[in-house]
Amino acid sequence: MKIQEMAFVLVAIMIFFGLVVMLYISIRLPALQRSAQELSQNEASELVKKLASSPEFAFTVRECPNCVDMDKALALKSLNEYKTFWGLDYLRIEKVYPAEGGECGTNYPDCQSITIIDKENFGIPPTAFVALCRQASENGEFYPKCEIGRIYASQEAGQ
Amino acid sequence: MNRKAQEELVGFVLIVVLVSIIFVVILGLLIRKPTSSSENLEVSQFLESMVRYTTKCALGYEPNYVSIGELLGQCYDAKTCTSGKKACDVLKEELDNVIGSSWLISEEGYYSGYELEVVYAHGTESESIVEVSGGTCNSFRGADTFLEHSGGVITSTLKICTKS
Repeated sequence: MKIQEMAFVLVAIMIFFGLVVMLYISIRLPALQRSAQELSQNEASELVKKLASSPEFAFTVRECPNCVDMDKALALKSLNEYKTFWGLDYLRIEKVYPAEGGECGTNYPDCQSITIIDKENFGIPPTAFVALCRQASENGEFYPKCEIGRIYASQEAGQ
Repeated sequence: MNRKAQEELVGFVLIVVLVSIIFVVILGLLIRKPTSSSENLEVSQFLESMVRYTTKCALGYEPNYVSIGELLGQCYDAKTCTSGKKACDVLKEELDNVIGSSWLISEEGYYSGYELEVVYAHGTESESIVEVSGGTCNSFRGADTFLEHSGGVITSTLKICTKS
């Protein structure tokens, strides 16, 4: 009888700890997913900072870290040498506000996005907010004009 | 049922109640944690980009258009744009448009609202410059940005709210 009671208690303890472990996992899982998302965001941020501060993209008319020169980006779009320069599968600059028009070409600056690199199978590219700046003119005078945008950049597989 | 069995039953019930209370407390703490989210990288990047945004407010002459960051200081100094509008009115209008459009804030969307508070601090004194908000806020992601102005510091605190 005593052995039977002990067996019951052991089973009950096992079930109890099983439930505790399940509860812990169910609580920790979303936190782990959040951490993974944050890591991906950090990676995207570092990549974007690197790109925005590179001479090919930096807006140098005034001191402005995290600012991308849209005039330079448009020029880079047509240069094939830069398709492999950064080791990226995908690189796109998109104006978020004010959102207007489509892909930039002859309609620049009244357009929304500049796709510089667009290879196949790049997955979901990480993204980060940046200021998109250019030299605009009014009354025959130039002034720096910045808008809000996002950079989408995906590194080549294996990098 | 004898007295010993009754005592055991009462003890068992007490243990179950105690364990349940501990679980509820732990669950409550764990669930509440994400709602008071600290510095968020995406919101921080947005704030940094937002203060660079060129507004429709020109000071002195056109096209001397100022950025949102500069307009915060002009609003504190109660300046007027060349269009005749007050810097603070233009600032509120621009902030509403920029935040609402960039985060696609709507009742049906993932982002349900926002709250922005801008404060000027000089020494131990501080004064609110502008406060804008929209939508509803349950949990949020937040960040701050700091700008120098007239020997003091302008602190902008943005909270982007989500439904869950």
